[in-house]
Order: sequence, then structure tokens, then C-alpha cells
Amino acid sequence: MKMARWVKVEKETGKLINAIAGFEQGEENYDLCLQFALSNFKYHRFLAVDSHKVSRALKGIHEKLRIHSNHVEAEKFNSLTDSFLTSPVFEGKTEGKTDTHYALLSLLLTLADAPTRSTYEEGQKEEVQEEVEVFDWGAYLMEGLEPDGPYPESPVWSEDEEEEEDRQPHVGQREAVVALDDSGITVEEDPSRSTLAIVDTGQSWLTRNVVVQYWRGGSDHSVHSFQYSASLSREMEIHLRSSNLFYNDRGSTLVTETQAIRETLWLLSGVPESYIFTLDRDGKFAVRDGLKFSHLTQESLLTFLRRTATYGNIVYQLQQFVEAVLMNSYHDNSAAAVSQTHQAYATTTATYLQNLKKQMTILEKQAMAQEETMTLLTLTHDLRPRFHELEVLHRVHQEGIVNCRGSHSEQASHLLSTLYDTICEYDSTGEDGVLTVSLLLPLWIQTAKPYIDIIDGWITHGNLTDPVKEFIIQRNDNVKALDEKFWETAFSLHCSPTVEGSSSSEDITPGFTSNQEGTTQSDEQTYRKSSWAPTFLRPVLNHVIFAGKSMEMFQNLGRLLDVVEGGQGSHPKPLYDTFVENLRDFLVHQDVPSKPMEQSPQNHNTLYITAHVSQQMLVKGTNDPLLRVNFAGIFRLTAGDVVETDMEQYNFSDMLEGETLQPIQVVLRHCLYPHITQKYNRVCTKLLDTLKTDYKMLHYMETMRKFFLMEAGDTMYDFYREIFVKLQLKEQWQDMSFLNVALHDTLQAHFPQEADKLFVSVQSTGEKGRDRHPIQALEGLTLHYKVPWPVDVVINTKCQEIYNKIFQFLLQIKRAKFCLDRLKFDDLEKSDPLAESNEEEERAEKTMPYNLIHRVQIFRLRLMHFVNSLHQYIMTRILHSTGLEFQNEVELATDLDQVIYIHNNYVSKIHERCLLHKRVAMIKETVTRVLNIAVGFQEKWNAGIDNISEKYLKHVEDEFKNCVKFLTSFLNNVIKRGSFPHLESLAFSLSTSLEQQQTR
Amino acid sequence: MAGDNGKQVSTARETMDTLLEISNLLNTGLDAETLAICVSLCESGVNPEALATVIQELRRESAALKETDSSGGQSKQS
Repeated sequence: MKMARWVKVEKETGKLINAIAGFEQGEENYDLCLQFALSNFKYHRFLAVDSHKVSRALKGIHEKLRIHSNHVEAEKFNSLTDSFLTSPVFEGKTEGKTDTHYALLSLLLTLADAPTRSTYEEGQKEEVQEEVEVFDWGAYLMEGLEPDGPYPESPVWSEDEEEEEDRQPHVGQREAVVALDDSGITVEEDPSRSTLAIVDTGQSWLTRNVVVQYWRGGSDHSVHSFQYSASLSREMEIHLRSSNLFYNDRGSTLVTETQAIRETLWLLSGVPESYIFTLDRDGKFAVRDGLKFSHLTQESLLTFLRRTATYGNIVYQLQQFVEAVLMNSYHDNSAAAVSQTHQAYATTTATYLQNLKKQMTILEKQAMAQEETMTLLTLTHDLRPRFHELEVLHRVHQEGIVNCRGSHSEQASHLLSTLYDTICEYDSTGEDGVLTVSLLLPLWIQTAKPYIDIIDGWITHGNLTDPVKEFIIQRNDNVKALDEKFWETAFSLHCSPTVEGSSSSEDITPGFTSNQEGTTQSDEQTYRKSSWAPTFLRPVLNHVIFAGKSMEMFQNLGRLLDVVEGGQGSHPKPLYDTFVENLRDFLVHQDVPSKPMEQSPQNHNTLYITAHVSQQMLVKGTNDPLLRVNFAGIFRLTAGDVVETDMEQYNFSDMLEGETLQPIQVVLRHCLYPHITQKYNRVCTKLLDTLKTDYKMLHYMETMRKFFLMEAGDTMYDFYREIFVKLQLKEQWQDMSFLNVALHDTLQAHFPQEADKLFVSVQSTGEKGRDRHPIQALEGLTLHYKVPWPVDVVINTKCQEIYNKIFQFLLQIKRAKFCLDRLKFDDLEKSDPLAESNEEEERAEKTMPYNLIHRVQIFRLRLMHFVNSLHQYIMTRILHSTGLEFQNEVELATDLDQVIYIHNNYVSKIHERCLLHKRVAMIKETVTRVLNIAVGFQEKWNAGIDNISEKYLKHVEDEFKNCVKFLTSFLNNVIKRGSFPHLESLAFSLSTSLEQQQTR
Repeated sequence: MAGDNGKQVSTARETMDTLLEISNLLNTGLDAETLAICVSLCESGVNPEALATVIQELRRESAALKETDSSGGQSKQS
């Protein structure tokens, strides 16, 4: 038995020597080797195989592989050894783990004593290839044991092979091979490769199966075809060579159309690094020179690719913008802070780009699958709508972002305006612009969100939250609350300073006779002011501003809670949400009336019922749930036809209403403006109510009229009588304490509650006062009324100044009237007290110039007539009736701004009508002269007839006559022109006095 | 019986495949034929370490021989 075994060993050893060293039996070396081997087998000093040792060694190898990060190999090794040890093949046993198992493993382990990392990996790959070799193990193993013939092909083997092949493409593969093209080019297997396949290695497999690295200058020479159409490039080159001696083919790279398609798709996904399209320093894509298709000339390929490159530029530019905005927002760089509007715009743009990328990925997958024909031409054709969208976006981006430099508010406004204008523009092109509108509308709505939110926060909650100052209206920090100029100056529009503050009285030009005109003017001014406001906001900008200011007023009054919607606890719905909801409802609702319109035969708008629309209307019912779902998706830019259909349908109803074809504006008018107007109405009305009821605004206005305009005649008479008497007696009247005491005494008697609010002061009239008329002595007298805060926004210092001017003028008239009224006939006729003797008296009586006295008396009456007419005119025709008009207007006013405007208007109107305006300075001068005559005349009168010479009388009579003549002719002219209708009554009364004079 | 035989053969082949794969993983440099011989030797009770020594020696000598052959020298025996 042992011998037999030894014989077998000898035989096997011989085979081994043959297999390893290649010596044949009979050779000298063979014998030597055999001897050596057998002696080694027999007389070795090795211990018997220790299964534990082997197991440890196996574990160690496994560990080593894992440490070298060859996890796959480690697992494989583990499973292989396990399966080997369990297989019952040796020593005739039915179970594994025999000594032979361990002996074999020990042999392998010894032989693999140093499986270093580098050799190991290579070996592993080789193993993959080498297994392909066919070796009939069965026959070999069973040789000598079983006399049976060859075994049939085992199916296991071929399965293994397939598995290997399936697995191979995943090993280090960059991309799938592109073997076939639709252009008719067949990629044939290189014969040299097939021979190579016998000595296959991983590298050769890769080179065969992975796409040619054209980006490294490699070109696939296997791509050739005998079709003319597919070898145009080659033919062209041959032609050029033959026709041009100096033709020089600069090294060109052959790319297949599929490669070009994929690079194009990458380009459109915003990938900056690709081979065909290179990014230059300006951030623009250029097409690499020297590319060629086998079926296109270089020039035509270039032209084709260049067109695509422009769209790649757009995508890249948009992407750069989005990234820049994101970076800035992320780093919170306050110097380069990005406005919220820009952020919102960037977000929507990013969403769009993301969608674009998705589409590109889908297309790329299609291209990779190679299941359907895809050429550059079909690709560009399919992408044409996208290209159009990109063009539009680029235009908007260029105009709205790139070409706009300035403050944040300017940028934000400009962006919103650009978007809106572009929408309107495309909207007006009708059917053609529908797709564009459906692209831009969501973009615009989303971009406008921060802006609308700011407005909402301001007019609903009273907080102007605008961290980077992008809103058109800014709070002036230097204007404190409780300032009378609060309303005018607390907020400023971002515009040129020249047009600011239009509501101040200076800007209000005279000539406003009705509120209607005033409103128009005010609108124009607002329009000028709002030239920087976003276009969509312009129609309601005024409302926004007034509502915002009113909220601010409430805040400063500490009564914000009164006006915040829904009280303290609940939160009103954000304006933006309301807007969006309304928009949706509106558009869905608009679906309904469009149907009968289409059916009506005499519809003159048939032009607008295009096939597209009618199809939509037929297909979609009025209650189409899909329509709603789709519209809800509008903000994910997924809304397609639905929105535009709605827009279209809106066109109809709009057209039929006879309005202009501006759907977007109409949509806004229905969906956004009402909410703003509603808020405006609520807040402003509430503010006015509060001012009127809690802060007694009307009461203060009335008080101003009472005292400054002397409506409270009796009170004021008591006051000014004392001054006039002092003046008459030529006493010192400018004493402040005297004046104030006099005023307070009268007020205590009639209006005790006002006594502490009103006081009087005398302003020095300066040097000029010397050569002034005596009538102007009272010009320094000024009333002051303490108007508390919220009301002094309306009745401000400027208004008080004007009130004072009117007051002073009224005092002059009153004084003249007072002087003339108090003349006594006795005083005139009394004789000189110094010449007091009977004789002289008699003589005096004799010489008493009755004629002169009569003339003096008549002159007095004429003066009285004049002064009374003037007084009557001013007090009733002007002050009273204008006051009534004013009261009516205030009742009708809807917001504080209107009240301020009306009040200013009122004040300036009476100022002008009291002849105090510069334009009527000549009349004023003449009137003052007459009043002055009256005052001087009173002195003469009181001095007695003796002191009135005929010459003096003649002089004053002439002067008076001239004045009246001048006034009459002037006023008549004015009346004829019709520009000052209120002067008519005055002119009439004056002209009658003149006529009397003339007829006399 | 024939079925058992067939099964045994296929098991033997599978085992040999496994062994060859292990051998490749360990980078022993043995081809299938040599491996089969080694299996047979081990089955016959040859000490695996002695066998490994012999294989390594044979390889070294044959390589040396080839080298001297290619450089025109005489054959050299161990």
C-alpha cells in the first residue's frame, strides 16, 4: 500500500517537474530534480500540518486584506476558503476539513508567503482573466480513477463566464461604450484586438470597452464607414488636399455625434469643464477648434455648436448669479448684502435651472441607452422651447440685474419692474407670448414676495422690516415721533430729492378751486415720485404710503393694537397668501364666463379664439380638478398650459368689457390692489376717526378759525379794542404782559378752556418799520396757539404763520373800520380849544367851513363804504364760505394725507384771497393805502375841522379816488378774464362807490 | 451509482475551482495543472511544506537555467 502510494508520488513528482521546469523524462536535469524532490519529500524536517495554524494563517490573510482596504477580496477569500474546507472530496470522506484540505491550504499559504500589496492586486485581476482558460478538471482529476469517458460540458462553467462578463463593465469603468451611431457608422471589432483577447488583461478590456479618451487626444480609428454621408469629413479633407497644395490639416480630433450630444447636454446643465466647450476668461463658452465629425465638415460643426454654446453661456451666467447670491447670503456679508428680492429671484432661477438639469439628465440617459435615434439636430429642435425660455430669462436677467447699479431699493424696484414690464410686453403679443408669460409670471410673483411681505408688514402690523433697505420707502431715523413734520418727513421715497415733500404748502400752487383738481395734481406728483417704484405697485403706491404712515402714527400714539387686524391674539393672513389665493380663484373663476363667449355667434373677438384655446375649452370643464392641481403647482414652475389658458380666457372677458387688453394689470387690479386698498381704507379711516374723536382735530381747526380768523368776533373785539384805543391815544401798546393779560381776560370770559393755550407776542418789525404806514403798526402782533402732537401734523407752524398773516391783515381792516366807526361829528366841528373866546367862537361859527365839513363827512362815508365792503367781503365771502367748503372737504376726506392737503389748500386759499399772495401784491398795496388814509383821516377828524385844510382833503380824496379807480379797473379786468371769481363781489361794491363819486 | 459518481466529479471540480481561486488570490503563481498535481501529491501524504520548498526550488533553478540559456551558457543542475 505504502509502496503503491510512493509510486504514485514519484509519478506525480515527475509531472510536477515537467510542469514547472519543463524537463522531460530521460533528461539529466529531470532525474536530478526528481531525486531532489523525492529526497525532500522523504527526509524533510517539517512538522505535520496543524489545522489550527492554518486557520490562524487564513485569518491573518483575511485581516491583512482588510487592512489593505481590499474588502471585496477579503470577503471573497473568506468565502472561498470556507467553501473549500467544507467540500467533501478528499480521502474518500463525506465531510470536509480533512488533513488534505489543510495540507493544500498550507501549501498555498507557504507558496504565498509574501502576498505584497502590489503584486496581490495585479494577481487578482489576472485571476479574473485566467479563469477563462479551459481546463477539463474533471477528466484530469478522475484520470486513472474512473475509466469513464469525457464529461459533458457543464452548464455551471458558462454561467460563470457570463457572470464575469456582466460584472466586468463595473470595474473602473468611466462610461459605457458608445459603439453604434445613428449616422450609419458601424464600429467594427478590430481584428488585432480579437487576437489580443487571448492574452486578455484588465487594461486591454478597458481600452476595448470604455469610450475613447478623445479629451486626451485619442481618437477612435475603428469608427469608419463606407457610406458617403458618413465620411463627408474625410472626403472633404481629401478634396482640400488635392485642390490646395498648401493645405495643412491642423491636428483635429474626431468625435462622434453621441459624444457631442452628451457634451452639449452637460453644457446646458451648467457644467463648466468639458472638452468640446471651453470656458474662456470672460466666463463665456467657446467651441474648441479642430473638432470634426466623420459626417460633417469642421465649419458646419463649429457653427452648429457655437449656437448651442450661447445657451450654455446663459445657463452658466444664471448659475453664477445664483451661486454668488447664495454665497453672499451664507456669509452674511453686510457690505455686499443681497436684497431679499434678489434672493427670491435667485431662488426661482435656481429652481428653473434645476428643472433644466433634470431634463438634461433625462435626455442624457436616453442618449446613453441608445434605444432611439438622437442627433444634435433633433436635440436642438427638441430643446427649442427651452432655448426660447433661456433667451427670455437672459434678457430679463441682463436688464434687471446686470444693467442695474444703484442702491438696493433701486435694484429691487428695477428687477420687479423689468419682470413685470416683460410680462406685459409678452402678454400683449397674444398667443405668441403665452408660453413666455407662463414662464415669467410665477417668476415675477415669487420674486415680488419679499416686497409684498414688506408692504404687508408695514400696513398690517406697522413694522417696516427692511434690513437691506430695498423697499422704495425708507424711514428717516432723524425724524422723531411727536414731530409736527412727522407725516411729511418721517418716510422718504427713494427718488430725487427735488420732488419730495410735495404735500408741503409751498408746492401747492394757488388756483385750486375744487378737490377734484387737487387730487389730480397730487396724483401726478405721486407718479413723478414713484418713477422708481416697481411698476406693479405704482397704482397703489399712494395707498401703501398712506396706510403705512397711518400705521406709524398709530404706533407713535401707542394705539397700534386698536388697528392691527384681528386684535392681539390672532394673526391675519399674509397679504402674499391672500394675493396668491385670490389669483388662483380668479383665474379658475375666469374659466366660467369664457364658454358662452365662445359660443356667441356675433362675437367680434373671434380672432382671439384660436385653435389652442378652443381646444382647451372643449377639453377642460369648468370644474376641472386637474386645472386646480396644475395651478397650485404654478410656483414650482410646473404650470404649463393651464395658466396661459386662463390668461387667454381672461383676455376675452376683458375685451368684451371694453377695456384695454392688459390682462396682467387687470389680474392685479382684481387680486392684489383690492387688498391693499382695503387695508388702506381701514387703517386710514380708523386714524382719521381717532384723530377726530380722541384728539379733537376738528375742534382745533375750529379754534384756529375762531381766533386767527376772528370768527369769534365778540371775543376778539374785546381784545383788539383795547389795543386800538391805546394806539389811538398813542400809548405804548407793545407791552407783552399787557397784551397777554388783555387776551386772557377776554378768553376767560368767553372760552375759559382755551385761555392757557393761546398767547400773543410782538415781533420787532425792525428798521423797515420807520417808513411804513401807520396802519402797519400792528404787523408784529402774533398769536400763538399750542396745538398738541397728532393734530399739529395738520395744523403745523407753517400754517400758523399764514394764519397769523391773515390775522394781521384782518387786524388792519378792523382797525380802519374801528377808526372810522368811532368818529363823532362833534369832534369834527369842535373849535380849537386854545382859541377859546366868544368872539372868536362867533367868528368861527361864521367862518365855519360847512362846505368843507360836508366834504369831509362825505369822504368819511365813502371811506366807510370802502372799508365796510372790504370787511364784508373778507369776513363773509372769503373766510366764512371758504371755511364751509373746507369743513365739507374734511368730512369727505379718507386719509390723513388728504386732510393735511385740504387744510393746507384751505389756508393757502384764504391767504391768497385775503390779497396776501405775491401775485396780488399791488391790490394789497392799494388797499393798504386806503386803509392808511382811513387811519390818518381819523386823526385829522379828531383834531377838528380846523386842522383839515382843503388841500389835505383834496389830496386824500384824489388818492382815494385813484386807489378805487385802480382797484375797480383791475378787478374788472380780472373778473372779465374769469380767473378770480371770488373777487366779483368786491369789485362790484367798489365800482358802485366809484360811480357815486363820478356821478357826484 | 452513476449519479453519485457524476455528483462526486462535479463536487471535485468545484473544489478544484475554489482552490484555484484561492491560489490566485494568494498569488501563488500555480496554474491549474500544477495545482492538480499538488493536490494529488498532498493526497498521497506529501508534506505540504516540503512540497512548497521543492516547487520554489524548482522554479528558482529553472529560472536560473533559462537565464544562463539565454545568455549562451551551459545548463546548470542543482
